[in-house]
Order: sequence, then C-alpha cells, then structure tokens
Amino acid sequence: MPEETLRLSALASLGLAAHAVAARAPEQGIALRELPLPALLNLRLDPKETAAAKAAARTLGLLLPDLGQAGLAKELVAYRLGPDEWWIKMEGPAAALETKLRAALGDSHAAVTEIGEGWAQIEVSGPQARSLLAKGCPLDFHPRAFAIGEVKQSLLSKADAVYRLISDDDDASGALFEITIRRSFADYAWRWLADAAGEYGLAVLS
Amino acid sequence: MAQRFRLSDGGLIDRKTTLSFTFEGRRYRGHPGDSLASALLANGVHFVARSFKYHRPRGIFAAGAEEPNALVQLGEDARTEPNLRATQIELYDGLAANPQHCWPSLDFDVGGVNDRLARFFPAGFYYKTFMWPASMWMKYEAVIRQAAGLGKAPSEADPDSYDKTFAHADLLVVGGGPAGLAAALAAARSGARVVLAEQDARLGGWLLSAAGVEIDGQPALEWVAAAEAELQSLPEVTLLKRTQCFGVYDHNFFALNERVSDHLPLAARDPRLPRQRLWKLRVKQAVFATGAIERPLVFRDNDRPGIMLASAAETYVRRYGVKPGTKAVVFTNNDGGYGAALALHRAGTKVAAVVDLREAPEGPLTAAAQAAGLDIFAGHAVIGTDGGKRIAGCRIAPLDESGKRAFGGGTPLDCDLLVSSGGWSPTVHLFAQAKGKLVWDEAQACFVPGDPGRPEQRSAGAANGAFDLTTGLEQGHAAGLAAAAAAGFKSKGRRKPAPPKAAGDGTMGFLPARFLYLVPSDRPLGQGGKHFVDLQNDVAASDLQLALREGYGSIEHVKRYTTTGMGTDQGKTGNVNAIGIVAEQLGRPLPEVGVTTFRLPYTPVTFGIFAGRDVDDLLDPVRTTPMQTWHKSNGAVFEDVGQWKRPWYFRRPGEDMAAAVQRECKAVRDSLGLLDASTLGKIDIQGPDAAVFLNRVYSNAWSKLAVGKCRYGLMLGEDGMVMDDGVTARLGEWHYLMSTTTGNAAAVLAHLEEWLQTEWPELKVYLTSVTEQWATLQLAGPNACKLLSRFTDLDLSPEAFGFMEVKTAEVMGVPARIFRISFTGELSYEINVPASYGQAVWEAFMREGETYGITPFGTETMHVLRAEKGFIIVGQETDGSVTPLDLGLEGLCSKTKDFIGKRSLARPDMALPDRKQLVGLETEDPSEVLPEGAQLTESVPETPTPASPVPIAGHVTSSYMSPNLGRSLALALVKGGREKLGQRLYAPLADGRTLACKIVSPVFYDPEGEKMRA
Repeated sequence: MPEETLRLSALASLGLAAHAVAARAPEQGIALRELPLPALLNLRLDPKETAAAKAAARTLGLLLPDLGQAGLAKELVAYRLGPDEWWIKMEGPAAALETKLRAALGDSHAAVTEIGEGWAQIEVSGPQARSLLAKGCPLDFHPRAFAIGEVKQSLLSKADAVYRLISDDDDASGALFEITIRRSFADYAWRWLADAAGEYGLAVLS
Repeated sequence: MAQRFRLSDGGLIDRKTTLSFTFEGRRYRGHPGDSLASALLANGVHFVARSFKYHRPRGIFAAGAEEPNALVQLGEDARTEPNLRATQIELYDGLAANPQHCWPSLDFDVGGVNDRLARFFPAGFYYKTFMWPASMWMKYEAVIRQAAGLGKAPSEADPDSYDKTFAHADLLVVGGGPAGLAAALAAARSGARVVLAEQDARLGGWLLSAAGVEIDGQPALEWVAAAEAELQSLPEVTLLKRTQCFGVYDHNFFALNERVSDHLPLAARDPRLPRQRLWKLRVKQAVFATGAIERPLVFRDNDRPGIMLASAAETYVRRYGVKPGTKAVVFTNNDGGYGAALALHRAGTKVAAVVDLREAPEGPLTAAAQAAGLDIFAGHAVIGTDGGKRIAGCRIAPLDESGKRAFGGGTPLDCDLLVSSGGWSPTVHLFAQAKGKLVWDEAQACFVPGDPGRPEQRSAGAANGAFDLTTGLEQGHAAGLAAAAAAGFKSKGRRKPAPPKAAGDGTMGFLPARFLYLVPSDRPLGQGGKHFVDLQNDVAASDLQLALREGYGSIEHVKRYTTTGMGTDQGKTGNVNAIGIVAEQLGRPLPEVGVTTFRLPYTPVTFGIFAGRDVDDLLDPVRTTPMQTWHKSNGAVFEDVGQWKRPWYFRRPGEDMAAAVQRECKAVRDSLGLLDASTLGKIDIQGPDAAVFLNRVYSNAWSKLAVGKCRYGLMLGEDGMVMDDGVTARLGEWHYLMSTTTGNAAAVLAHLEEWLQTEWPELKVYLTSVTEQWATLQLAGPNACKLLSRFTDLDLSPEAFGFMEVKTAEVMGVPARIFRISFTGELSYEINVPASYGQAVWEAFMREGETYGITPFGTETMHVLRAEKGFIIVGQETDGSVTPLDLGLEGLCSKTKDFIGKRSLARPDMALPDRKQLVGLETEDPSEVLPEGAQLTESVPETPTPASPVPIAGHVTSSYMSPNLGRSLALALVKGGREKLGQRLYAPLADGRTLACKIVSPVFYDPEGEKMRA
C-alpha cells in the first residue's frame, strides 16, 4: 500500500487548516468542513435484473435503496442516484469491495467503477445551512421536502453537486449536509460557499 | 433649515430624530419614516424634475411605485443610480440625490426651450425626423439620449455586493395591505409555508394613510401590528418587507427584489449583508393583494409642480405629517376624492374649492365634506392651470351634460396645490403577466381580474376590484384559506375561521363617480396648453388623437407611436386614461380597445441582483488538476481550455513565451519532458456489448482489439463531420477506457448516453466518467523509459510493453495504469495514478528526472510537437465541416460496419476533389511563421485593392516555429490540397506583406514513426 502522506486533497491549495477551529461559535450561522478523501464505488445495474440486484445487496449487506435515498450498512452507505445507479461510500480503500462485487456479480450486466478520487466532500452545517444552500441550489431544502437520509443530485451554483442530509437538530446546531463535488470544482465550490456564508458568519472546522 | 410644511403632530415619522440630506446640492432636513419625496415636500420642494421631452417643470405627483415625475439620481460616484422614484426612497442621514432631466440645473434648464417648440415635436417625431439617412441614426440617437436625459450610469465598478437565492413555499402573498395580511394570516395559521412580500418598509398598505378605520375593534394600525407580530411568530412564515415582486414566470415561479441595505446610511450598512437580494421563488399557490393605483383627471396643463393625486396628498398628510400646500383645489369625479379634501382641511391647508365633475355629489365622504363646510362646485371642471415652477392658480367652469364642453372662460382660483382623483385602477400587473384575463368593470370603470392564467393564482382586495375594506378583508381571508387548502393545509380548530371585520369612515370604496377620461377646456384640444396623459413620456391627449388620425387603430400601435405607457413607470397612472381617450375618439367601447401587454419588471430592477455573487473570481468555475499547486509555484503560465486551467508553458526567469516553448520542444525531442494530461476526458465503458457500442460510435473498427491494447478512434457526428478523437484501451473482456479531448469530455459523454438511452437501449453497456479519478502524467522523450523504470517493477522492454499497449502496475507503490501511447511522436508513457497521488508522483518524477534534464512542458509545446508529426487537434484542424477524408484519415472509416456519420459520408459532395484537405505548409523564408487563420491564395493578389472577391485556396489551421526542424511549419486546409504537393501558395497578411509558401506533406518529423515505436 502506498503511503497516505503522499495524498493531497482537492482543497489543499486553500490552506484551510491555518484558520480552522474546533467548533462553530454561537454567533456564526455556518460551519464548513472538508471531509476526508472519500472512497466511492459507482455501481450500475438494472434493479429488474433480480439476480444481479440480489448479489449486490448481499455483498453490500443492505437492501439497495430507492431513488433519492441513502441506505446504511455496516461500514458503508449506498446512495441511489438514478434508476440504475448507486454510489457506495466506505471508510477504507474501495479496491477490496470492488473485487468482491465484481466476483459476486459474475456475468450479470453490471458495472463497478472506482470513482472516489474524482470527488471531494464538504460538510455544511449550522442554523443557516439551509439558507446557504438555497442560494446556490434550486432544490427545496425545507425539512418537509428534504428528510434525513435523502440524497439528491443538483447544482451548487455552477458545479454539479450531490446533497445528503446527515442530521437535523431543532436546537441551535441546525442541519448538517454532506455535499459531494467533482474534484476539479471543489476549490470553486468552497470559495463560493464561503462567500455566500459571509452574511451568516462562517466557521471553518478542522 | 426648518421644515416649514411639517405638521406639528400626526403621521408615522419620528420627529425626535432629525436626518440631514441634500437635493441638487442643497441641504434639507427630514425624519425617520420619511420618503425622499415626503421630506422634500416638508421643506416646500415640489419642483424636482424636468420632463422627458419638453423639459417642463414637474413636481412630486404620487406617493408610491406609480410616480411618473419625481425620478432622481441617487448617490454619487460608483454608487450612483438613476431613475429612482423619490416616493419610494426611504430617507436616511446623509442621503444625496440629484434631479436628472436637466442641464445645467433644474432651475435654469437649456432644454426647456423644447416646450416652446412643442408644436415641432409631435407624436412620432423621432420616427418622422431621424430615420433618414439610416446610417446617421446612431449619431442622432446619441444626441437624443443626451437631450432626453435618462440619468447617468456609474462609470466605475459597483462596489456593493448582491445576493440571489432560490426559495420555495406553499403560498406567496404579494402585498402587505389589509387583504394581503388577511390572506397571509388565514393561510399561515394552518401551518402552510407562506412568503409575504411587501414593497414598502411597513406593512399596512393604504391603512398607513387612513384615518378613523377600525379592524376587529382595534385601530387599523394596531391590528396591522398585531398581524405582523403573529406572522413573525410563526416559524413557517417568511416576511419580506422592502421587497418588490416584480415578475411572474411559468409554473408559479416569481421574482422578488429585496432591498436589504438601501435604506441605511452608507456607514451603517453591514458589510456582510448584500445591498439587494433576488428571490427566485417557486410556490404552489399565490395571492395577489397588490392594491390599486389612483388615476388622475386629464385636464389642461395638468402637469405643473403642485399638482398631484388626491390619494398622494392624503398620504403625505396622514402618513408623513406633511402639508403639501397652503391653499388647495381638490378636483374629483368620485366620492373618494373628498378624503383628500378632508385630510387637507384638517391639516390646516385652506381648501379653496372641491371641484366635482358629478352634477349631484353624494357619498359618505362627500357628506362629511359638506358637513365640514367645504366649498363644493358640482358639475364643474378645472379647465386650465397657471404657474411655472409651481402651480399658482386654476380656472374652473361648469360643464354641459355630456361632459364634453365647458361653459365660459372659467373662474380663476388661487392655489399652490391641486389634487385630482379620476377613479382607481387595480394593480393587476402580476395577474396579467401570468396571462390572466382582464375584464372591464363598468360600474367602477376599471380593469379587474377575470379568468386567472393559473387556478393557483388568486386576486384579493382592491387588486381584485374590491375597494371597500370589508369585502377586501373577506376576499383576502378566503383566498388565504383556499390557497392553504389547495396546498394541503386545513385550518385548525372546529369553528370555521372568520375574516377580520372593518368599521369606520373611508372604508366604503370610492363610488359614486362620474367618469370622464378627457376633461374639456375652453379651447380646442392641443391649443395653448396640453392635456397630459402620460407624464413621464410627455404624451398629451392631442398626441393620441394625432396617432389615431394618422391611422393607428390598435392600442399597441398607439402605444409605440406615441410612447404612452412606456418608460420606467410603464404608464401606471396614465394607461387607462389613454385607453379611455382612444376609445372615445374611435367611438368604440373601452373594453374593445383593450389593454397593452403588462411586461415585467413591475418596477425597474438593478442588474446587480441578477449577477449576484457570480462575478470576479466566482464568475465561472475554474477547474484545476491535482498538480495545480506545483504548476503555480514553478512558473506555469496558464491557458483556459474549457473551464480548465492548463499549463500553457513554464517560464524561466528572463524567458519570453517563444523562448520557453523552443526550450521545451528541444528538451522533449532530445531527452525528456513531462506533461500534465489529466484534463483529457476519460470514460469507463463496461458491458458485454461494449465492443459493439464502440463500433457504432467510432468510424474505425474495434472488434479485433485485444485486451491490453490501445487504438486511436475517430468519432463523427451524424453529419459525418469529425466531432472528437482519442485513444481507447481495452482493459478487459467487457471493459474499455475511452479518452476524449479536454474541451469535449462532457459533450462526448452526453452524446454517447443519448445514443445508448434513446437509440440502442438494448445494448448492455454502462458508461461512467472517470476523468477526475486519475491524474495523468505524460513522460515523453528518448529517456522516458529509463526514468519510468526507476519507479516500477514492470518490464518496460519494447518486447514486453510495446507501442499502443496498456499495463496495470505500481508506480512508487501507487496503483497505476500505464499507456504506451504518443501524441508527441516520441517514446512516451501516460501514467495514470489516483488523483490524490498526482502531485507526489509528479514531484518524484521531477526529482529523479534531473539526471535527464527532465523539462515540464505545457500545451503549446505539445501542439508544436504534434504538428511536427501532422497529428490533428479537433477544434483546430477541424471546425465542424471537416470529414475524415478531408484529413486524409479515410483509412479510419470502416467499409465493413455501420457507424454514426457513415451515411452522410456517402453524399456526393463529400468526395468532391476540391474539398479543403489537410496539408503541410513551409514558408519560403523559414524564419517567417504564418499567422493561424491566415487565408491562402494561389496567386499574389493585386495591390492595393484586389478585385473582390479574391479566390481563396484555403486557410492556415496551425502554425509554429519548430526548433527541431530549424524552421517554421504550418498545417492548413487547402482545396484539393493533396493533389497539389509542391505548389506555391500565398498568404496576404493584414500588415500588407504577402508570405509565399509551399504545399508539403503534413508529416514533418519522423514520418515512419520509429521514435514513438522504439
């Protein structure tokens, strides 16, 4: 295995660590955090092909989630992005699971592709998280329209973005979204979020 | 300076705080709660503008969005903004405003001469005078604009920030007057998500200017305050004050402009807050409670400063505590106008006369005025006014029964204020923008909403023609309940919720009335004075009649010919009068004449909110590769390729671009170069039908490509023209990796998905973009293999790893895909590592490569090197009209299978011998570099002016100085070029020189390809 220290995040050039803090101050409405480099597999299969769907579900240890939903299993999350497309996000490297999935799927018509290196993840949280995201995204982020566990693809200003609501507290901590952005757009997306958060007060979390 | 016309009490202003402001450089004082207009009036300033065409003195005419006259230039330098309505500008300390349609000053204006020349400026004047010769129009226009004075645009960049946001709700209520509040309360109590947008800084609408009104047993403004408090307390309500809903779009999409900071002194504005915000609001339901706008009466010389709408005078007295004059004449055709008479009377203004077009005045307010002892002249009209920069008096005369003739020359009356009321027009703009149908309400003489454009959109209150308060509240309440129910929210509690109840004077609407659109005078129309219909555009009743005489019958044509209803106010006060006058002249019923189109925006909107934060560094995404940090700190000069930043060349101290590129080119051919090729598109293709799919989308054949091998592919559009190219590798039995050009990556994926999803859904193929998964490092040069061997255990010998092969290996322990392919013509490897490792591997290559003088190179060097080899670049050698045959790539068009574009290539024109074909060019003087894009001719064109058209033989597509060849080279598309090898061509240049060149083969370097295959 290569050394982790050789890796560089998509936002390395922004030098975020220099002004990162442990927690958001109460008067700050938004906290942004760069999430660790994601390990992601793209899984394509037709759920009507029950053999393939079952094999994938068994290997992943979950029922393949419905459109717009995320499904949790031990040590991984599956995001349903389209009629025949899922993302599998996990902690460790994706190669082992890729091999297992390919083996389980056998000759079924399915595709398994490692894509995590091509994406970056940013966590947006705080009492103004919804207002902030609304500035750049036509989705309705109201709790009645976007529930915990949901996953939606849209835009963040002019960048593709996948939104997932992780938690939502009624108290002062507010909602916590995970946004997944293409690696080459991550720098733009971060600067856009930081600029748009200006009126609410911004904390950059370590 | 004292505010001589400020009342000692009353109104919604804070007299304890005094604000200082300037108008045309003069200093005045006002109070919080004032508008710029009310503060000016408190200081006795009525004359604030010169009119658009005649430069006549004009005064403050209205008290809201409908103001046609009092447009000012607000602020200075970079923050200056033209055409703002003084009636809607909230006063703040330090505010500086200037008049606009005047030069050198408001008081002494040179353009005022236009007024005396008025008979030379009839309707359609511009069309008649300035159309010939057409070439002069631009010059005329500049002079006209200067004379017309539409205000000044700032000459510096806007220092303010703007915001825009999407928003969603169950219900939008436009208007925070009584009907809007009732609607918002009814809906919000059910739990629905409600946005209430009010253009004013305060909720209440006309209640802010009313006296003696009670709602639900409370004084009206206490009810408003309670309603506001309740709405504020509900978590699902968004209350947007100072917010103009200016546009309705399809599917209940609304555009709103929130003025976040404009009302504050510059120093008090929170730098974190935007100046204004655009709300892009999508709702399920909407209620238009936008109120109504009073119409003036159209009488002779009805435009002097000191002449205003009756309701405006009432607002200035009651809301702002300002006495708009000392001696007033009230001119009305309805009972409602008496409200102004009573307000003025109670404020201490002497009401010289109430002139009433009605022969038998009656109604609740009329009765109150009679009881107050006001002088009422029934069946009378104002037939003319006197005065210059302020009205000094008027003449009144009795009318005949038809209302078309006045008796006698009139009785003069002194006054410094004349207010008029000609009835009311519901503010149906949003309703009509949404394609709602308007119907004519004969009794109230106004257009009211009929069939809505969408069932989810409802109108309530005065906007719906319900001018009495009780009905307005009922309609608002009902609309709010219905909207909430339609959005899925039932009202809570067992009892049916009841609408708020109104009581008091002035709650009964404005009827009865006698409607006359044109008030007669003692002289024929257009002689010795003007009956203005559209104050902002200086359109008089005589102009409308002229347009009709000249044959313009449609109201839309009359509008364009006379400009009535145009400008920043879009005829808010004038349009119905104009339609009435046209209808009368045509002898047709008014509703048959109809209305002109209601266009958005309702009031002008600054461009800033549409830009939002998408300016400067955030104008467009800047895409960068994993090695960007290294590039930036090592002298890279970047080139934009699509949204990507790619190193163009790496500059060393003292070098210019040419020197850097020459150095890089030499280094690659002589030893070793390193290129960042990460931006090339990469599409992962998996599935049992992958080879079939490739056969269809590429012109060349793929069935026989072995696992581990690569092949160059040419992709055509349906038209047979080259759309993309790139190398595709076979990674496994059912697994391929396609590469695309950088700029086309997204378009190619979309093209492939479209064919797959719509034409060939039976193909078992999945496509996944992996462009950004990999960082791609291209080692190129004779020493490429030697350097790479230091990083991997892979056997790199030509026998084990041949040209056009792909291997998986570890490089520095990092899992990598290595492609032995070449775009430079040298021995070359493209090493793909996971993106996050890209920079570490790059740095290691640079460190270890020092032995070989490794040289990072950019896209320009890549372009030179590939041109030496005669390799095309899609988008440079091709322009959407170039076929594979034109490029000499017919060998890549399979004869045995079908592919996208094949049928088009069979068209006879595709095989014509004189099509432009790819060739090389060598200039006669090897030190001359042809400009790219240069046109080529077969003979030296005559000078100085060759016979037109000069026959063109072709054009230069790529051109460089090649250090490896020691001369310049070029690629070109030349008609029938391949048959013309050795022939001379000429490139006449823009600088007057003509360069001679020779047609040669497009492959200049290593034609056998021995180097890259080594």
